[in-house]
Amino acid sequence: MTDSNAPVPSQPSSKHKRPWTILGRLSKAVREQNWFAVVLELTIVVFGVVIGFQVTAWGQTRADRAEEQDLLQGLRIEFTEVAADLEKQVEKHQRVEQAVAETIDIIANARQDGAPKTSVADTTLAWALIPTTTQFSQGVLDGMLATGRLQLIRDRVLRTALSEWEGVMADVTEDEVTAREMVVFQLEPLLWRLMDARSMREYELLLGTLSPSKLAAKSEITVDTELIGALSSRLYWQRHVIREFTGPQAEAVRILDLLDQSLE
Amino acid sequence: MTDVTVPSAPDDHDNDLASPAGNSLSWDWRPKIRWFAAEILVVVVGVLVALALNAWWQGKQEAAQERIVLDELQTALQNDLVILSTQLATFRETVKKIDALSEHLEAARPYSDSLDAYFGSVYVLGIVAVNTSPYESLKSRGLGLISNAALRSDVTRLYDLRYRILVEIQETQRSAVLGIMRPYFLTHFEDLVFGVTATPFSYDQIAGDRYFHNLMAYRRQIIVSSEIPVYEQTIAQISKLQSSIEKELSR
Repeated sequence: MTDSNAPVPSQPSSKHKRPWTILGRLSKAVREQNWFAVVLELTIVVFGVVIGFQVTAWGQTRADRAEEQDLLQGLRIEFTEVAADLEKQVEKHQRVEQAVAETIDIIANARQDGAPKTSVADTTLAWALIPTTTQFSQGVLDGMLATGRLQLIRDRVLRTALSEWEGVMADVTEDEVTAREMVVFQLEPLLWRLMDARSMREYELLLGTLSPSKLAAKSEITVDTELIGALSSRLYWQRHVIREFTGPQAEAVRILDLLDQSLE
Repeated sequence: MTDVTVPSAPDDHDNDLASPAGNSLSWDWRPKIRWFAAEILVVVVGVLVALALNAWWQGKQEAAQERIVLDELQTALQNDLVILSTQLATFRETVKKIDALSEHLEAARPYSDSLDAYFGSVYVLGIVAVNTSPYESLKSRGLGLISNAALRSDVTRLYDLRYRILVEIQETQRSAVLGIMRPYFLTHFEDLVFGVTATPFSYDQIAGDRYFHNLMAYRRQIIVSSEIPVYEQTIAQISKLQSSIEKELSR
């Protein structure tokens, strides 16, 4: 294609013969100082490579978008479960709160009446002592944060919300750990001194799977000011934990909305 | 790079490239443009084929990496399974011992040296360390390395939820044993070995101590209501994941 007008002497029949390769034609053009042909051959190669890369980049962008959608779907499933689990966890905390409040009422009333001892339902005491904590399965989000694939999410607001989610949950989980410590280190040893707590240790009490008579069983407890104080602290903290849950609950809903907006 | 896609560039136009200006009047652009487009097409196709080959090779390498990761997970899971099963058996044995000791004390039977093993079992601290390094390594490479979405989900559920719960339960247990049981055992027992033996200073005092009976009941409750269920669920989930990985590896 880049033959000069003058045929090459050593190849008399080469007028109609062109080298088959681009490199061959390019070197031929250079030898013959046919700069127009040189520029043209180089332009073809450069254009071809650029177009090739553009096509690949376009394909990569499509792949990234597909991966983004895949991740968003995974996050959607995760956060749907998280939102449901948060609700269940709040219900559990509320049940604990109710049990603690009920126990305080019974003991405080007995104290007002001047009774040295009183009886509290085993189920109520068992619930009052549950040191529940929250755990979620967030492998997709953790993986994205660990590998930097969070950047695949185009929505900046969603990206920020996802990166801050762990901190939002930490506010609650740290308070739950404090609540657990109050139970394990204060309430339990105190109760062991004030009552025979063995009958409320039935695991089935919490599951509600015992016979009605056993479910209605009560334990006698010494009316004690320190116990009322310890239970009151627990109640205060329990209410604080429940209030703290409103943050993650609202944030989970917001993230779900953002995910829905980003999902095509 | 061959020029086979240039059938439309007739040979009698070959020389036109060398002297376009000289033949400007008779210059026919259409075959030149076709030739130019064909040349570019050849290069583009060449680049795309090269990139496709590269992607195919990368895919092969990732598939090989996936097999390695799954193999590593399988090995770690097998070790975890053994460790957790052993600890689960210890917990079940501990519950039996606590029940037997409780019955012995309730019946006001006398002390014998063999009871030390039973007292020691109340003071059990079962901490096991599961191996999460293959999972952490997988996370750092990207969970997408596991191509099967269901398997990927099973893996994250085990490591990110079940193992976390296991660690959480162990933390609660550690707090209880070290925080409230240890002080009691240190003041009422000698020759203490976690989970193995504890000799009471005064058997009669302990036998009649409500605090100790409550302590035993509390320890039993933690084992029965928290530890055993969590260990059983974790073991079941490991077994399920092992089967899924085995299935994936045999594909």
